[in-house]
Amino acid sequence: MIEVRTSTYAYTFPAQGEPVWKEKVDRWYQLDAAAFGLADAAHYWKQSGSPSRPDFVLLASHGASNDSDAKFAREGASSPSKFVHTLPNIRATAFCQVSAWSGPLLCLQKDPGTIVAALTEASEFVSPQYPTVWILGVNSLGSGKWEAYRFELKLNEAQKTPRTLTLEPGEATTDEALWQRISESIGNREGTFQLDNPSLSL
Amino acid sequence: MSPIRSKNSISLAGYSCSTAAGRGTEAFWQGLQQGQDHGKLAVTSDWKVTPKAEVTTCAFPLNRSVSMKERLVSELLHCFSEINFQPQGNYGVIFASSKGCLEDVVWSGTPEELKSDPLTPCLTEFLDRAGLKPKRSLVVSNSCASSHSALFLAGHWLDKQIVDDVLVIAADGVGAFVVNGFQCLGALSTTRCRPFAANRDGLRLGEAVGALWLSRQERSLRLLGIGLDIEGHAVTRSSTSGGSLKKALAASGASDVGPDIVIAHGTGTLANDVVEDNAFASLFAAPSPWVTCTKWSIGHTLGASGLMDIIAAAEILRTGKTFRIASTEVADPSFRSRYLTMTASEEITKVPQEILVSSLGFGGVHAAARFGVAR
Repeated sequence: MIEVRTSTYAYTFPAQGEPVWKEKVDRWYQLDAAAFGLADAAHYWKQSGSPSRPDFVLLASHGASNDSDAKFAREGASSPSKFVHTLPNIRATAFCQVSAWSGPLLCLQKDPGTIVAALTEASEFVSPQYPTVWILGVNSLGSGKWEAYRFELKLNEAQKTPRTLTLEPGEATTDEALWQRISESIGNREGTFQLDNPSLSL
Repeated sequence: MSPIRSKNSISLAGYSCSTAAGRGTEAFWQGLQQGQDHGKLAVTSDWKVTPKAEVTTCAFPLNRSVSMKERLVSELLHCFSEINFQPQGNYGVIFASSKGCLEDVVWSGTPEELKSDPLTPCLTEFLDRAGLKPKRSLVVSNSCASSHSALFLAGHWLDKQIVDDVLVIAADGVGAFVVNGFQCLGALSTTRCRPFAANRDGLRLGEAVGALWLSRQERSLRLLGIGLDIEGHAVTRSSTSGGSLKKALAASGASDVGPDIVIAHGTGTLANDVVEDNAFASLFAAPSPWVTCTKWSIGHTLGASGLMDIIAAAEILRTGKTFRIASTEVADPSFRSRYLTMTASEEITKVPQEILVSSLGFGGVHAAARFGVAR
């Protein structure tokens, strides 16, 4: 059985002040919204007692790095500090620094179902080799408000999780529909559930 | 660390590429054999932002008035037609790219156009036009190590028997976005890309697409192992020690004995080449395996570059021939590994049986894949 725990972390960007983890990330003030959010979330999750660390990470963000790409282009395509954030996997770097984590990571894209695809892959990577798999990403909520999210997948043979999310193939083919189904199943966007049918492949 | 060392063999059942050398693997391979540099002065007159200085790139020899998506997909279809893809059962398709068709939308794209990633449309268009209906399809975008990362996922799919065959396609093009970006980073060579030379001064961008058919069917060319490691040293630079790359090399199954040949990422930048040399020197017992690379010929083709190097590895195993780093006379004397430069005196007498291909990417991505011939 695969147990999934979802966590979200709301933040604003640009940052309102210096983050407490500033010493861990060189030139933290140059991070883009996604990188800043994952770093801030990593710190928050660590501080809030989240005990586990991932053995494998999948990055899954709607829109890839389009936001940072457009910013670099709009400003004349001449800023090196903007250019370095124009790849969707770069956002993991600050996360790695704040978490002191290194390991295997894949940045996946399949809009409009990037998280759906990542959930499928994550459920198949969970194994004795990779006991804990995380899916990480960010959502823009508009007006400078952002949300980082984490899906933590683990094998759990011992304990039955009370809530189950059953998804038939084709039922949740977009990230929006997936979030909707999660909210319906567990009451909100954060919680723990058993993933009953992980083969959601689009 | 993340070894995929298949219990079941994974074969390279077919491959093809298009590069600045022309369409087909043969054009690429002959260019490497003959020491051809495919760089040409880039025509930038129709670019949205003109680079601050003239720039030489290794671009496809085709009509540049078409969209980036059309350029990449039409070349992908050509590669696909060459490999005679005949899966035996369920199959998957993985697209490896760093920027896909971003160039088409980034300059004047509407918020709606910029809502979705610029990579999936290339994959979707390719699948539609190739008439493919895979059990699973996905984009992997791990910067310049995207091809190796896609191979890592493909290895997982095959090892877990999720599918029986995987088609890995890779594509990246060159336009105003990436050229201006790398230029403002100061990463572009103003002369010629000279990997592992003491006077190296940067990389040269190139475009390429490739297709690689991996299969559980028995064939002579095999994927022996693949490793992937991401470190958080810095946004762009890898740690100079090469520690993360060494982890990836080891995870691929490479040992101190070493393979017969290493095809390095070999960008020709001051920092990257040091990282690779340190990783090779710390893993392999002296004398190290001979190290060569391809970017001096076809440029740095970003997310597709790993697949080009894998195709070069397959050609070495198929033909028994190697190639030198034709733009580099002598290796940097501070380097400890052995590089197949133009003046490297030792001839390789043993027919290569095992090749290691390394790859690095922004974001601290390090990967390595080992290939061999079935015995």
